[in-house]
Amino acid sequence: MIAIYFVSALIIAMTLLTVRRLAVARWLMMLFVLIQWLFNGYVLMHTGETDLTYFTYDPAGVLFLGLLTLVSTAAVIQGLPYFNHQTRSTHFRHFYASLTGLIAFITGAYLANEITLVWILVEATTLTASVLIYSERTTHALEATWKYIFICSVGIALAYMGILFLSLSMKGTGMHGLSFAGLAKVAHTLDPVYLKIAFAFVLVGYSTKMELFPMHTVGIDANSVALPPVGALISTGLVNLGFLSIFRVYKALSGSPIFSWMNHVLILAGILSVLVAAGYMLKAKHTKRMLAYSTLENMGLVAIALGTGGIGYYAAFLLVILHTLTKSSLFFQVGQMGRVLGTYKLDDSGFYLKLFPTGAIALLFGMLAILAIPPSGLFVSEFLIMKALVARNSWVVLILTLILLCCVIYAMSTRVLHLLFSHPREGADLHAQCRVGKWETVSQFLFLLVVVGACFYQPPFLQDIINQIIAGLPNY
Amino acid sequence: MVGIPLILLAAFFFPGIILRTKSIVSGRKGPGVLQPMIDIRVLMGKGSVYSTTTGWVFRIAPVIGLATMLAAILVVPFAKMHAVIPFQADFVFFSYMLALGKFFMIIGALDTGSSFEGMGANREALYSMLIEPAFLVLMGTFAMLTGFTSFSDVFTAFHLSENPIITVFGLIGFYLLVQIAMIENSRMPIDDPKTHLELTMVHEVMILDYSGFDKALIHITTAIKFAVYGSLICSSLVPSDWHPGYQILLFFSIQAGFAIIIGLAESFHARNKMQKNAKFILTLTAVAMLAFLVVLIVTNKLII
Amino acid sequence: MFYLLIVLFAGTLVYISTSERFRSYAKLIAVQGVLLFAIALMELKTLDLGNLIFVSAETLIFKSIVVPYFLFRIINTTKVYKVHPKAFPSFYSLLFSMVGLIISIILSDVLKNPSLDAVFLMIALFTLYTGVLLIITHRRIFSHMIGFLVVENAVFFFSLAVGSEMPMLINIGILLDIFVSVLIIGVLMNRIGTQFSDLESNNLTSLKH
Repeated sequence: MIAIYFVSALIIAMTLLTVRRLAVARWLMMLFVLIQWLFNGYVLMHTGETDLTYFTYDPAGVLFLGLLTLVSTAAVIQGLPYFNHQTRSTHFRHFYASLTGLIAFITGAYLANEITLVWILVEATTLTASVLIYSERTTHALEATWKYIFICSVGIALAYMGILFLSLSMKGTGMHGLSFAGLAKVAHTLDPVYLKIAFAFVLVGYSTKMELFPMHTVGIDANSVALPPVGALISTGLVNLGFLSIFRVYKALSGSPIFSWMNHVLILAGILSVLVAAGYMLKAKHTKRMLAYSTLENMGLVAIALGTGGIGYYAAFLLVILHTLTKSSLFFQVGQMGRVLGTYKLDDSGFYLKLFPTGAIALLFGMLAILAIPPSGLFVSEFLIMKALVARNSWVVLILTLILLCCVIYAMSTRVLHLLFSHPREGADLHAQCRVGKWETVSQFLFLLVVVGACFYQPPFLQDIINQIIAGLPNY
Repeated sequence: MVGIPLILLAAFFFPGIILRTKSIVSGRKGPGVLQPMIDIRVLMGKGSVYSTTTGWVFRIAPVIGLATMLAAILVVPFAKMHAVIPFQADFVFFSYMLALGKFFMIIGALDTGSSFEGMGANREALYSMLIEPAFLVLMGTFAMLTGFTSFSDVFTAFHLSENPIITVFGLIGFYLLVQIAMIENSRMPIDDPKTHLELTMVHEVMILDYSGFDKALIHITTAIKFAVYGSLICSSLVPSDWHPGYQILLFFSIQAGFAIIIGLAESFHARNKMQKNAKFILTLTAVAMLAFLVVLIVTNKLII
Repeated sequence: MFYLLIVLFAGTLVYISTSERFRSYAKLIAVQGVLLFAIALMELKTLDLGNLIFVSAETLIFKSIVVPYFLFRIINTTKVYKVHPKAFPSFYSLLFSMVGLIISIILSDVLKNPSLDAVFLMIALFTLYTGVLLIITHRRIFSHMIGFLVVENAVFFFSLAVGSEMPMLINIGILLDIFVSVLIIGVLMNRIGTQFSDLESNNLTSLKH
């Protein structure tokens, strides 16, 4: 079935490269979204199967695939107003074709069960995402695209070194191929030094995707420049992909002697990410950039949670899921805001509440949600992370995290409240540059509603699926 | 023991051959081969003029230079016959004897109180510092390859043998020794002995203020230094188990060949830009390290 | 003979760290491609013919001919021939490179593994170190690109050492090489060259805060 999915994605992408009318492109994109939903339904019904020997519909993949489908549908719908009939056909051709490619590759990477195949698909997502980032064709966009491709490629090359070290350490076991299940079986017999080097390289390499320290800068720059629906996809789809790749390696190596070392490294990377995010967000002047730093901070928290263990595993996954929904709705709203105000710079923006009240309310709720202020569901997950840290007696990490989160809350709330309520600093008078429809905010409110609901009630299927994913990890 | 008179004999002719080669290549007939020795004889008869700013260091520096040189000859071997005083790690003794002589030249130059001499001393010190690791790494590699640490034993045991890597290493070592010799003797492309423009001199400026007997001593030291390096090169090239007659013949031909090569290099090369000099010398150290790597691999210290 | 090629490869890396001209970089990348071709042929005797042809074509044709051709074209169109005048002095580059050589020798001794030839590990680490050094210390984008190509060579080296059991790994590494290099060099550099007349990474710092 996955072969059919890939082939149809390929056909649609090829066709999209040759259309000349915008309406045709839009219909083809809708068709692809439909195929995505159908494939998702099929995967839900056949959880646990293996297809084409290299793809397994395991619970983690199913969960993230569902999230991707939701976000990509909303992204495609929200992205419709950005291309009108005056755009040149080459622009939207490349955009829609690479959007199709990106979604298909991410789907494949979620479901792959071998390390090298995941790596290839992540490489492919780099290429398609860079085309999407360059869609505006300004100098800023060129700069961001260059940085994105270059640093992501260096990161991917480093991740490949890590994979080579892994296969080197498995040389004596007589296994062919590097599937996660096979790696998990022999992990306790492998040479710890090589495993440590491999995990370090893999973490650094995939940190380009997951927006974690040390190679987080690509995501920040990419998000500042890309169209907001694309930014939503990068911040949720690709970030989840990075997280899932690192998590799968982590889980496979959890039986080996380097488990506590891996936890230390993850906590270190997490703390440094939150530190960098807090530091830079206090200086952020661009709305999308501020949101990108918020992603960095949340992923730092996820890494801390993963490294802490215990209830932290559950909290990490809950945070990832809710972050997906919240961040994507925030990006969509910021997209509308950009169209209404005409700019993304914070110095030139203001009075959003007067100009577009529905959107302003969505932005306000989104900000409250992402800052983990109750009744947001992220509050529950962050609370559980704190609980796990206390259970492990890691007081230093806890205090540092709390202080840095305060900085982040301060930075983000001052900026958003300024956006909503006050005069723009430059004194320019603001009129709505463009009429935006209120119906576009429906998806954002829906996502936010789900996030708020998750604060009070976590449905059993969600708890089940998360427990299935983290089963087998040593809980201390 | 036989080596010392041979080296002194080669030193007799060495500067003359260089000068003669340069003249012939420039199209002139040039002075005789023994002309530099005649110059030294003349200088020895002249009196010395000392500046009033100089102290005892300035007067003693050329003497120490010659004395250290003669001490250094004592550990240089010839063919299978050991040097006069061979001992373990005597190549370090050799290197540091030469460094002691150079050190005294440097502080003698600083003693004059002249800024030009200070500048020359500065540069000379930098280049010596940069070339020293090259020489020590090279000798250390020889020692690792043959298992001995004394000059005499190393060159006795070293033979360009069946393994092609050893041949390559021998060639690299030969090339490095030639370059090290050129640098230690302040020749092209590091330093032009013919330039007397103030801002471009390196070694010449250090000996600018000497006259008479001291100058003669310095010329003698330079000549012997050439010959000693030539002897090292000869030992690294010629296998030690050939007939002594052949050895002596090859010794003189290699010395003459070395002198001719220096003459040709000086005629056809320009001096490096000053900023590039440091990089050039450091590159030699890098090449020495690569040679070290080659030998590491070959002697199976790197492979499991 | 084989170890001679490896030492020659290390020699090209030392040369890259002393050189300041872009044309020398491009020529050295070509030389490295040829050396990798020879080393790959000697090392991978156990592969089947199809994989062997693929690997040889990639190293010989792609790394030695196509990539240097693109690099020379970029040099000629953007007319930028040397590293930045206020660049990191090449003296210190060389010093760092030598330190890297010593560190690689020591590390490969520490990380001994009976199933891996230590020479490969040493050369791969040294190449990785040189590539990252090029990326970090240089200011022009062209040098960053060269650094990336050197990092890819390191990955290729390592996959040669490991890959005689899993040939797919080598092919994947080669795919990385081809796609990313063609994309970056062929497409992006031309665009950047036409937009910014000076290939300096300081021009690419407008995205701040």
